[in-house]
Amino acid sequence: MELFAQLGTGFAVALEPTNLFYCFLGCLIGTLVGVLPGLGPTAAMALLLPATFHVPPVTAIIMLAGIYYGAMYGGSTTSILVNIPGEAASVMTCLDGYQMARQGKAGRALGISAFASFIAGTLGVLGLTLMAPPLATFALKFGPPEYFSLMCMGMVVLSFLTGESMIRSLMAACFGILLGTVGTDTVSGSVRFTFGLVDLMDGVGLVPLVMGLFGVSEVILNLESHIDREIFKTKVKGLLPTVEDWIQAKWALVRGSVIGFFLGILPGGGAVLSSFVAYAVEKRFSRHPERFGTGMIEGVASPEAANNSAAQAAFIPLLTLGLPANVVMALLLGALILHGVTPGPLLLTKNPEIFWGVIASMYVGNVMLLILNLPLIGLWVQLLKIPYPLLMPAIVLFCIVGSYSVANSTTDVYLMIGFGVVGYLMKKLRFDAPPLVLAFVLGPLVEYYFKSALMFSRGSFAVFVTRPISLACLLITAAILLASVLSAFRRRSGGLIPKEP
Amino acid sequence: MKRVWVITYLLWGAGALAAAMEAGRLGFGSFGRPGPGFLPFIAAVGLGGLALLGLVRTATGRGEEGGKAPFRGTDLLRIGIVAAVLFLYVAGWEVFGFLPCTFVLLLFLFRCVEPLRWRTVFLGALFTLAMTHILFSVLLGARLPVGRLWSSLLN
Repeated sequence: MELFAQLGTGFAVALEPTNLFYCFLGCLIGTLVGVLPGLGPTAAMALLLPATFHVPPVTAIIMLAGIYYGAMYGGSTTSILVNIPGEAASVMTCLDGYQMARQGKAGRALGISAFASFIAGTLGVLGLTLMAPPLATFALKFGPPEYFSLMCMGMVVLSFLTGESMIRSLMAACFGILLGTVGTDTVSGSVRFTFGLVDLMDGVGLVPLVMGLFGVSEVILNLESHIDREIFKTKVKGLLPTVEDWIQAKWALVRGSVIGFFLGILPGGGAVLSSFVAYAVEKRFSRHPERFGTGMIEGVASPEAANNSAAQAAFIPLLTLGLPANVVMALLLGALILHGVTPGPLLLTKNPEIFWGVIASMYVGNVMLLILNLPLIGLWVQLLKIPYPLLMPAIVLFCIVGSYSVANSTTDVYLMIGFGVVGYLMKKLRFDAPPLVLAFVLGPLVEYYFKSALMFSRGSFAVFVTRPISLACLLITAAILLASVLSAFRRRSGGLIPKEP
Repeated sequence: MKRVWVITYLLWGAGALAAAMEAGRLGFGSFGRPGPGFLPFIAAVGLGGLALLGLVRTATGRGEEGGKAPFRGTDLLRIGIVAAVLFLYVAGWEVFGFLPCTFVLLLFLFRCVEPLRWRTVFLGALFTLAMTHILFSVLLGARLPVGRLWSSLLN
């Protein structure tokens, strides 16, 4: 009963006119960035982060969260109609979605995609509602050693899962930690890596870093090649799935939701990985795996359900442990900190309006997205016709002004442009940016918890291995690192794993 | 291709070395009482070690070389020009202010990056400028630089 009362409080917050408006705005922008290839939810959230400084933290997080799960909905439209994923989590939807469009079933593909997103998204929020409070209560037992070990594990797991090369992902993470140490050390007061620049005394800003790495670098990358968007010329009709469609897609939808939810909780899992896994599992379960890729409705329902469920589930470690599961959550963590809110188990007791308000807004947001994505499909199709050369300058300008307006500092803008070039080079050389951003956000926290744990234990390292949760996290971290080394050896001896291209 | 990766890992290694030296100067402290340079030093050593590992793998033929070249000369030139223009644009704010500099930047981006017709270029630049001004200055109250030139003229 207490759960319902708390959820009721959350709905009271989420249904306030201001929060409702920002939730709608987040969902709208999310759908927009999902539909338009070239600007992902991370860059869009970084872009709009400064705009949230004028509103209360709960409103800010409601909007930013809306952008994230809204992008999951919007990404499928481009995948189905143009065969270009609007964002990475919609890659698998291209395979069968575009084929359905070619067969004149664009409406059914878009319809099942929207409904799968809605159902899985709602199931994901339901899981979040049920799992988050007990997990937050459990996390109250965590002290600095547990947090230190948990964050180390998070960084290593993310590096392991997101990158094609563990070496390059860990290098990006180390670089992120180094960037996170720029500025004044809060413990000793020493100034680190500022090169005499006063503007760097407070450290490198999260907004310039993320905008540069994800926004500007994407624009620079797109300068190399033309983005041709050839929309499949078919009349989009019959958006409501038929009874036959539902029967065909029901188990795909359920499996996708479950896979997405559990992979979404894991650090590094996220929407992209879950959509790939869900598609692969669906193909394996199917009686006709050979038909996948030719326009199977299950091939649309499953990855769409998975990425939306994962998007909601990723909030569990953030809201309960203060541990971001992916780069978007790292950005949300940064946003909460910028708003003076500390995410973690105490969020539930100290700021219940934020905790429950954000969760309740997701139920509302999912309904909004269903409305936005079905009746307004014609509008999104029209938006796809805007040529990229017209969009690109606007994206660059929004990045620049957004970055400047955080602290009215031109240094931030120079940094953002610099990170844009760094991000471009990283993309070309296949270094992953998510471990960098996660390490950048977690680095200062890792340092704080490490020093606190040592103070608590009077300088003894035993504190990290004598506490069971901390030990378990460290063992998992060590196992992952060992697995990577073993995999490299197997590759060297010409084992099963193919050599990197 | 191999050369690109060797240079990449060498650059990472050099950066890590510089960071480790600076971290050492800040004060490593001890394992029981870490100083301000402790975490940066560990991160720099980790980065350097991984760069060395990558370099060895590349040198012994177990690395990433063999794929297609990640860069073309023309790409790098174009990107260098765009980055330089962006740096100059921000530097110009102080003197000329945000609005004139942005208008010129937008003309450049619309016309030079992907040649569009002049009419589209002007309309696109004006529309984008107006939207940015309305969103950031009017709605969000951001104080965008006016520029010394306009400040002195207005005063």
